[in-house]
Formats: sequence, structure tokens, C-alpha cells
Amino acid sequence: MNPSRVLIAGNPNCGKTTLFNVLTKSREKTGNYSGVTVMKAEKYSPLLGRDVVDLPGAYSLSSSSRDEKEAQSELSRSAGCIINVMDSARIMQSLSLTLELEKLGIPMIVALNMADELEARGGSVDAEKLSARLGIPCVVISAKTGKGISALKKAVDHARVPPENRDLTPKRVCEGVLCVENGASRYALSDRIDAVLTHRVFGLPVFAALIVFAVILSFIAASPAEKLADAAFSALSSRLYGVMIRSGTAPFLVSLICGAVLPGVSGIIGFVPSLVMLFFFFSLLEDSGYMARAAFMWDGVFSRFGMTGKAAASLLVGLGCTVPAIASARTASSENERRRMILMLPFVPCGAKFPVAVLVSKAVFGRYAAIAAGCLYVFCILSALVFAALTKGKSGGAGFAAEIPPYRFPSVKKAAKDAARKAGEILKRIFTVVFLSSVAFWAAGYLAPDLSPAGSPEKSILFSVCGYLSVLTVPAGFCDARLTAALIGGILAKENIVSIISQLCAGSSPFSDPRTAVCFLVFSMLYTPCVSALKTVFSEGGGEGRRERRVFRLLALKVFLISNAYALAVSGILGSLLAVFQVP
Amino acid sequence: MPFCFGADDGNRTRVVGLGSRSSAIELHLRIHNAVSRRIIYFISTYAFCQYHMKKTTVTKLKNLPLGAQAVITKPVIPKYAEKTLSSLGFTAGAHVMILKRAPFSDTVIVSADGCRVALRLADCGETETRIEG
Repeated sequence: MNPSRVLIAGNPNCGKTTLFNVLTKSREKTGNYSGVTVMKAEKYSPLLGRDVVDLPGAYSLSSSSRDEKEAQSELSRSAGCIINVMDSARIMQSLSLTLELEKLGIPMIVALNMADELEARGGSVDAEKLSARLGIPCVVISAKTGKGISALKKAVDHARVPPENRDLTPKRVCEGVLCVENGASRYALSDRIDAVLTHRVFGLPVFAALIVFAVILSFIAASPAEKLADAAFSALSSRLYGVMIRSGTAPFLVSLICGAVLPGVSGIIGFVPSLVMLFFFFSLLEDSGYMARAAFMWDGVFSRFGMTGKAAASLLVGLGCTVPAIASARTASSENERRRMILMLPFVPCGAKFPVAVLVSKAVFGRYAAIAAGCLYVFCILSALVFAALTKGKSGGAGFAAEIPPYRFPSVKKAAKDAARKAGEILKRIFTVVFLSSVAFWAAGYLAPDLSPAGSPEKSILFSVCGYLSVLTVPAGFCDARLTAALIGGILAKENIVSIISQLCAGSSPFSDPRTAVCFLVFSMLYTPCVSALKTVFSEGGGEGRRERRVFRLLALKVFLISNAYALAVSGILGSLLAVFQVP
Repeated sequence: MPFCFGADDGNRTRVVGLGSRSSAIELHLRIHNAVSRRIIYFISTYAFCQYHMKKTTVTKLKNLPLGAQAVITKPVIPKYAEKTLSSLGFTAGAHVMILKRAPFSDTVIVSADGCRVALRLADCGETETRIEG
């Protein structure tokens, strides 16, 4: 451990990660609600010439939630300096943590962040007075605009250990430090917006409309992008095929490139624009401050299932990706609630399942595809809630208390950057995991069990193995080696499902009838989360005691078994119902 | 002519001082004294009541009407939220006001000394407050 490293600590939602990004030129996720950063991030800062650690937000050094505990444990280790970030508009509330930090005996400075917002309301903060009272350097900064960062660098170099044995209280320290001349509340605009967005009657419908709008927009974007990608890759594939045949390339290589890699990659790449649009929209929501309101509005509904509004915020994150959603469960007020959130979140369909929903529902429901996919999403979320209610046990529900930040105008530039970063991550996964999976599945489909070329797909290793494994999916209402192969690929990464279907069913429909398609769709939306998500659950107990580690390893196993069993049961029942009503 | 019966209890003052007639009938059940309960039921049901609240009225947070300003006299916070809420200004002496109620629940947004906090009245509703003005 580097003893000269700089720790960034402070209350949640005061701009610590924004400052960390400025100091280290990183692109860590930021948002306008408490609990965006749930794990520490460490990186070298060229500006400070030291390692900088961004800690999760904490209200005190004796809190109970997992993210706050991580901050506490990091602060108890040696460090060269602490930058205590405060929201300039609420110094009084931030000071209780500051006074606790001062007792650690580590050189410290205070960064009064969001000074630009305070100035815009005609307010000012007397940093010198605060510095004199606390006995440490205080600088006024705006991490968003970069104002005061050079002064911060100087202050870090001159950080000093706070004086001991003083009888300070937040009220006494704060007196006369903050001045808001015209008295404008920082919630003035927020109150007007909240009159509609968090209205007791219209609030939830407005929320539902926003989500439906985002999904429909992504659906609309998916269609032309999918066609474009399909046309581009078809043209590329036929041209490449001609070139390879003319140049006398080995047949297995032609089959690998034109029959596996290109269809596999093209099958999923067309969905990237719609996923990017979905992430762009969620980034705008996170940046605006609406997530905290969503948690507040849904708390009543979630409390019926023994959960809190915090689970609603995690659930929204889970619609993008299950991995950060599982990590966000660290904000839960108790370990029991956290484990239940982790068990519940894999039921929420992540963004990578979106292409499956689009592909299959378009094939079955035609122009009603968006409605069918929407109903399926609602069903998955309801499944998550019912499961949460079933695991409530005797301990009852969890408690809820959260800060509601003022709305901020979301930065389109930042949202675009976030979406671009996500697109980069998806493309990286397509060209690594999906590409390698395509090659592996091609090899298994090309070779016979005796490792000679199979000749026909039915004699290949893939069809032999998946043929046997497809017996397991019979209760779910379908039995097809190609679909089983796609589901196995989906365990590695959900993008593989569409990719493998495109690869194995080139030119033909993968579904024998609509009933099979519906059963497959429901099963693929509900079955086990991907390896990355399971690994996250597995490693969530890290840093805890031996018993805790074992609990989380068991939890990963539970997630795997329960989600598969539930997917089998639901798709099986649905298949039977469709058979009873003689749906083909 | 203001009608006053020496109310010293938050619920009793609310019964006739604030809220609708139906809420008054509902709230009168919280009064332990049977005679007082019957009187208040009668007043709030049949009488034209012009009860004016006193300058300061003690009531619990759960009985504080939407938009009424009060000062916390004795915060009652469950352990899991103790540090969070006290750091956000939900402490004795803080000026509070209930701003919003969530649908289907007792979750509210409270303004505490300028900070906005979402909390459940089932957890913090017993907090004692003194209504201002």
C-alpha cells in the first residue's frame, strides 16, 4: 500500500467521483443521487503526482451499509492526505463527518465543491473563516468546471494534521461561513418539476411513460440498424467468400469466417445502436436526480414485497446491466436486505437480453412485438418482486431513508460519453467473448466426435452434446440442439444468444412453431444470469469474514439454481397453457 | 369565537384544528379519554368549529399536515438510519416540513433545515415536533 496516497472522502452525492475523474483523468460513473459509487477506485493522478482513492460516500464513520463500511475501512489505513469534499450549499450537514475525519490524525484539506451552483444562486462561502475554525486548508472548487483545481493541488501539498482536543460542533463551525444573499432555495426549480414528476397520482404513470418511451425508442432504433448491419455483413460475407474461393483458401477457413464469425458478429452488432440509446437515456435520468425520486415513489410498492425504494433504483440499473446492479445492492441498510436484493436482481432482464426480446418477439408477434416484449419485461420485474416477497422471512421488511438531491440539468455531452463508453464495452465484448464463442461453437459444429470434419451439422460434436442437453429443456416447452447451444453460449455472455442463433440458423427460422418461440423467449429472459454476474455475486463477500465469503458463494449457487428452476417452471407452464388453448 | 377546550395533545388539536372532517372522525379514535373522544366526535361531526391552533402546538411527525412548518423537539429515528438522518439535519431544533407523500405508502419527503430527506413515517413518525405559527 502506498502511504502517500490521497483519499477522497465525503458525504454521498457531493461530487467526489467528479473530482476523482478530474484529478486522474478517469471516466468513473457519476450521477446525481446517493450510492453511485459503491466500491473504491484507485488511480495515479498526474496532477497531484500521487495515487488517488475515490471512496464511497459516507455520512459517518460508524455506519452500517456495506459501501460506507468500505469507506471506513479504507480511512482506517494509512494515507498521505484526505480530501474531504463538501457540497458548498450544505456545509452544516457535511461537517459532522468532517469532525469525525479530523480525529483520525491524518493530514487533511476541505474541498468546498459545487461553488458554481452556489454562486449562481447569489451565495458565497467564506473558506478562510472555515479554514481558521477547522485548522486545516479549505479551498473553493467546482469539479464540474475545473475551477479551483490548481488551488486544490497547492492545498494538498500543504495539508496538515488537524489540531487536537477542540470542542467543535457543526453549528459552531458553520456560523457565518455560508451566505445566500437573495435567499433562493436550491430546490426552487426542483419543487416546480416535482409538482408533476413526483405527484401522488401522476408520479407513477409518468415514470412508466418515461421507461416505455425509452424502450420504444430503442425498439424503433433497432430495426433500421439491424437491417443495415445485416445488409453490410451479407455484402461483406459474399464478397469475402468469392475472394477466398478464388484464392483457393482452405474450406474450413471459409466455413469459419463466412459461416460462423461474420453471421455471429452481424447477428448482435445491429442491436448496438438500440442498446446505446437505452444507456444514453438512463444516463440522462441518473444525471438529473430523478433516480432518487423514483426510489421515493416506488418505496410504497416495494415495501409490500419487503423491499425498499433503494431496490427500485438498483432495478433500474439492472435494466442496463446486472453486474453494477448487484454492486449497487451495497447501499442496502442491512445485510439481509442486500442478499435479498442480490437474489432478486438476476430476474430483471438486462440490456444484453434486449436483442433476444426484439428478435424473437418480432418473429412471433409481428407489429405487436413491442407490446409483447413490454409485457414480458413487466412479468420479469414482477417475478423479481414476488421472489423478494417470498424471501422476506420473519425479519420483515427493510428500512428506507434517503437524501433527495435537487434536480440538475443533465449534460447531454456526458450522457453521450457514457453511452459511447458503454458502446465500446459492448463492442469489446462482441469482438472478444462473442467472437471467441463463435469460433468455439463453429469448431464444435464443424468437427465430429472423432475430430474429423463432420460433413453435416447433425454429426458434429455440438449437435451430439447439445442434443443430449436439450432433453433438460423439454419441460420448458422446446427441444432443439441449436437453441440449447444458444442458451449455453448465453451463460458466457447474453449477447451470445442472438449471435449463436444467427450463426447456427443462417437463412432459416430457429423456431419450429410460435409456441416454441414463446417458450424459448420466456426461458432465455429468466434463466441464469451470465458468468460475470455470477462472479460478481461470488466475490461480493470479499473483504468480509470467512463466514460471509461462504454465504456469498452459496448465494451465487442459489442464484444459478433458482433462476434456472424458475425459468423452467414458467416457460413450461406457459407452453402447457398455449397447448391447452391450441396455439400452434 | 374560537372554540378551545384546553387541548394539549397533538392529535386532539389536529382533530378539530386541521385536516378534513373525515380525517377528524378517523383521528378522534386516537384519544384515550372516552369523554373527550365523544365530545370531539360530536364537534367534528355536527358543530361548526372555528378552532384556532395555539401559537405553538406539539404534535408527532406522523400527524403533521402536509406543508405545515414545525421544529423537531425529540427525534425518534431507527438505528439503521440514525447517522444518515442526523447528518442530513433531522435533529432536535431542525425546521421540518412534510412536502410530499409517496403513492400507496407512508413514505414522505421531509424538508429538514433545507435538506430533503425521504423517510417512512412508520419508522420516524413518532418524532415529536412543535408546529410554528
